[in-house]
Amino acid sequence: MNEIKDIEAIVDRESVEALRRFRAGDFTARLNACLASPPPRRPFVLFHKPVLIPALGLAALAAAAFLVLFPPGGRNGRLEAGFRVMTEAMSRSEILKAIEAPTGFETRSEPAGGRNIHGLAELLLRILSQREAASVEGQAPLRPLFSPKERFKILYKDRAILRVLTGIANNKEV
Amino acid sequence: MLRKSIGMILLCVLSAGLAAAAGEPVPVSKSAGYALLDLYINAFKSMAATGSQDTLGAGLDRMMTEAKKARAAGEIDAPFLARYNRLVAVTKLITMQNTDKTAIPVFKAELERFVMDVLGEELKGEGAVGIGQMADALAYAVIDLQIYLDTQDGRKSRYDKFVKSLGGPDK
Repeated sequence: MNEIKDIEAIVDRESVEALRRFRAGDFTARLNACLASPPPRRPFVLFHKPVLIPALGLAALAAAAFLVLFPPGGRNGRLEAGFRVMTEAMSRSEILKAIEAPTGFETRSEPAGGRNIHGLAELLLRILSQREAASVEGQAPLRPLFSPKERFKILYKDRAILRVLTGIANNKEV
Repeated sequence: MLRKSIGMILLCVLSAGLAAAAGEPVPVSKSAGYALLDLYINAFKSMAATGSQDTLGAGLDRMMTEAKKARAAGEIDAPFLARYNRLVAVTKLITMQNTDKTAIPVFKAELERFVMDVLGEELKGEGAVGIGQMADALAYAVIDLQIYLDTQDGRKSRYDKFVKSLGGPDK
């Protein structure tokens, strides 16, 4: 019985040793094989579909963020875009008050706070004018109203411009 | 193959951007130009008919806005926009109420220049004769712009022919 156990122990020890050798040999063989043959040629990693689609998405997001942060028009454009967002929900008088309160600067009169304040007020007034002009537009579709003959008649025969200018010059309604 | 396709797409996108930046000539829509002129004429027509100039300021602002929109859409060209803007701006100067007196010399100089450019005459004072000259100059400028639009069709070929006759490059 003891002999059998001894034999089993020897066999086991040998098996373990054999296994260790096999593994070491296998690893070395695989390493050698790798070093001996060049790796398979793969295309540039960016063109892999799983990488390309997120990369394009990121690029689009970056472009959108760039346009938001740096809108076309340089520094004035950025300021204008910022003010436009800021003033979108405010009335004209609210905006003018918001400027006048901290600066004591009458936005409609002479600039009192130097070039920066003047520039700021100019910019805001420009935005307000654009907004007012935009609210005027779109009332009627833009299309020709008169034939060439009618144009000549209004301009020269009716003398509409002359009548209007004369009325204005006489400081009364035309 | 995929790389080639992406390369081609990028090339197309870049080419399109460069072409846009180069300011290629765009076709001028006569309709938009005539509509802008009629917007101007109609303002005076309705003022003369109703006897009120309440809406003139807003009307002139709208003309400027519409002209800029038409230019942005490529419906009118830069020379038309510049001349039209000048016409509207001069009208605004003339019809401005309660003008600050310090600015009058500047306004007057601009009006004199406008009359000289359009009619080739000196502005004769601020009385009836001057008003008549201004009215004539404005009307003449409108007709001038109409003729500019009328002759759009043959303009480029005539220009090219002229350049060729001077020994310039073929277009």
